[in-house]
Amino acid sequence: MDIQYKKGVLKLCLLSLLNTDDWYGYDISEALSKITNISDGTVYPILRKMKFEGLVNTYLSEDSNGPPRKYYTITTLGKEEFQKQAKEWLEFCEAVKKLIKENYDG
Amino acid sequence: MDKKGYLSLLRSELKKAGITEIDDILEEYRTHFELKQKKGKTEEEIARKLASPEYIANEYAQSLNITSNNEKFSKITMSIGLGFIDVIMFMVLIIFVGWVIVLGAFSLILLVLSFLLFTNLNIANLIPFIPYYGKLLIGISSLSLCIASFIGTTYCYIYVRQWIRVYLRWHKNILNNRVYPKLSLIPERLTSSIKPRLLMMITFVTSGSFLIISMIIMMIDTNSFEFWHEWNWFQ
Repeated sequence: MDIQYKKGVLKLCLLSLLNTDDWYGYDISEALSKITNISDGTVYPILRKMKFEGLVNTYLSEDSNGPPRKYYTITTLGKEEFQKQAKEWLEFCEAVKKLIKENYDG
Repeated sequence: MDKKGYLSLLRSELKKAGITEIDDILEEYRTHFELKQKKGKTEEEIARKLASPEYIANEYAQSLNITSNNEKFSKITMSIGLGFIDVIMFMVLIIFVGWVIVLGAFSLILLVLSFLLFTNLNIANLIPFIPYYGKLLIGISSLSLCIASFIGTTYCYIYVRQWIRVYLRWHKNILNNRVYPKLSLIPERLTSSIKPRLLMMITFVTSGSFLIISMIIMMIDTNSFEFWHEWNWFQ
């Protein structure tokens, strides 16, 4: 799959993960590596970009054991963006599925 | 590539790409290594699964281009404003620090004084004549005041230290888009078996009462309200 294309979808995946919970950067990378073979390290730049775009925010949470960890949390703008993108994505998928099914000989 | 090599290469690549907040980014990758290692992966394996440092730096550079100019400008104005606040806060905090030092010195002086009184030493004739029982009583008074002010110093020190931390954290947050949690103005409770506040109160009262008792006894002893005249203190 094309890498740029994949990155766009990854952003949607990240918004989806963050929509309900705050995540630790590492856990996000773990969750994504389960569904795609994208390199572990690429998640962090995307998260940072999303932060610049105001879709997510970060905060440090000081746990009793170990150093403070950086958590990502979704912003209101991020939630709106997720709803929009998710709708577009699902509609797109439906259309693609329909099209492919018509021409697929399998 | 091992962890150290990967991180240092990433650092130089990020620097080359002109990216700010490099430490913040590296921290993310450092934790990634740490947590993967905890799962039993070797450093080489982890580095292989991460993309190459060159690639990652490039990714960061792309994400930065959108807002970098705007970001730079607001950072400059922010730093100037912050500089002014820093000067003012520095002066305020230095007063607090001064207070802690003064209070600490006060308790140290009281400690020396009570030592001199107990041992009946009189260096450079600083202490006027007092019979030894009076010295003992005043010594107890000054020792308890010493303990009270020492506890007071400790309290003030803990609070002032916390306030300095709060200010530094706030300062750091302004420069880092508020990523760190705010600190409380009240320090975390000290876990101690003795209740220092109670001890401070007891020693304070002890100090006052022993001073009064010693005065009264000395007045009775000399048969005069102004016992100091009887002992020619000011001659």
